[in-house]
Amino acid sequence: MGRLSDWELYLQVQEENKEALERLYDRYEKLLFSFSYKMVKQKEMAEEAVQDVFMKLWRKKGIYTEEKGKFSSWILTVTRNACIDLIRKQNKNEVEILERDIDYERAESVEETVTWNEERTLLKEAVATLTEEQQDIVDLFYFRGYSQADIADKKNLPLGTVKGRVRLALKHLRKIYSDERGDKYGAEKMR
Amino acid sequence: MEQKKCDNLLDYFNDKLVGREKEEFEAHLNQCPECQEELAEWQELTADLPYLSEEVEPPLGMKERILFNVTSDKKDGTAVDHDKPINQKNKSAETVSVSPIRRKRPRTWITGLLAAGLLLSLGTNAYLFIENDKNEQAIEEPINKTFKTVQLASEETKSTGVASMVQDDQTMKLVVHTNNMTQVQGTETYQVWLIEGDKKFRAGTFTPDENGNGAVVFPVTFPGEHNWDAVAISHEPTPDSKQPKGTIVMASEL
Repeated sequence: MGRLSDWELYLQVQEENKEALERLYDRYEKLLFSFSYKMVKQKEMAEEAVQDVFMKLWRKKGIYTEEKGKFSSWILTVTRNACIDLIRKQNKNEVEILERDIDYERAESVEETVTWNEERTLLKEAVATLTEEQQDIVDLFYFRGYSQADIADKKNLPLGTVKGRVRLALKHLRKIYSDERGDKYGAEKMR
Repeated sequence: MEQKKCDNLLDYFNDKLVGREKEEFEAHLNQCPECQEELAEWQELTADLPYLSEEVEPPLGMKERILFNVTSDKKDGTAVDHDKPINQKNKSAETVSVSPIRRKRPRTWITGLLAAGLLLSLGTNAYLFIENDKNEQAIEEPINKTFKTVQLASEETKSTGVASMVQDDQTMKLVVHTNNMTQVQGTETYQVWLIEGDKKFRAGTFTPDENGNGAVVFPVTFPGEHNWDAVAISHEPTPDSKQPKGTIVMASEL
């Protein structure tokens, strides 16, 4: 089997090709699970988020088109929204967060998995150049999906300044990160 | 007015707008090139952030569970769900049947109570399983499937009850019906709890009628997979207890 692009696999998924679904799953399982886990901080919920993403992918015809940008960016956005949705439900219902460890083991997979070690290393270096306050704001905004009002509340900021602060932090991050990447690779490397 | 709408952009991005607010913003977004541009900017600015996540190994069996759940039972795949995630229905029902790694966790809380002789469970064996007949096609009205029913009884009073896990078209529901409950005073209520290991989840609040009968129908939509160990009813001083404060009056293992 040659390596099919995400888009090609997605087209096969549209035809209800389970094998294509499995290959896309294998490709993204770890990234989506890790990202979800960073957001919801709980393994069962992270699994549920990943399941929500693949439910949509499988059941909602035409949910992705190439106009929506790179498949990887798109599926990460869908994942983030699934997490925000689960966090919202959790806040409504749950008394206590369950932190529980299950036994982990890597299932063997033929499909090449998306890995992001180098990106992470560079991103972390970039994040380290932010002030602690900025890091906090990015975390609240992006990974915890806080509303502007909640960020203002938590960080003791006037509501009107929240957006500016988030943007400033993200722009700074973006600049450092692309400089790093530019230095290192000279060109876009991510699939 | 318009500026006010533009101010909602970030909350829209974080999916914080609901109902009419969201619709209004989306209508505005269609008309407002600045917001469209800004939304694209936010997407661009955040596009790399997921890669900050540390690699975490997915739980054993996750792939099998997810692929099974996603590809089976297509019957509601096309008709329902607009922009919402698939409702709990398939998940709760099917994860119950396929999860290979579920294991019973210690029941410290409930076991302690049982050991202390505070409660008596009459009906632990009274499980009622109704097979889900997937071949049924032509039924319009959703069928409630009863997964499990247990009897509840109190050792100290004449209170009795029945708790069932019932699945309707949308969600798993916990249905509890009680008789001969002691009357409550003031802000007191009865609180139903679902127990998993030593964690207690609120699962409905009720006050009995003048004959001591009370009932609760509670949609079980807690995120994640749960393997409920027991159901309990406590007599709480207020309806707001996040954890049981009052006396457990009845409980049963699930």
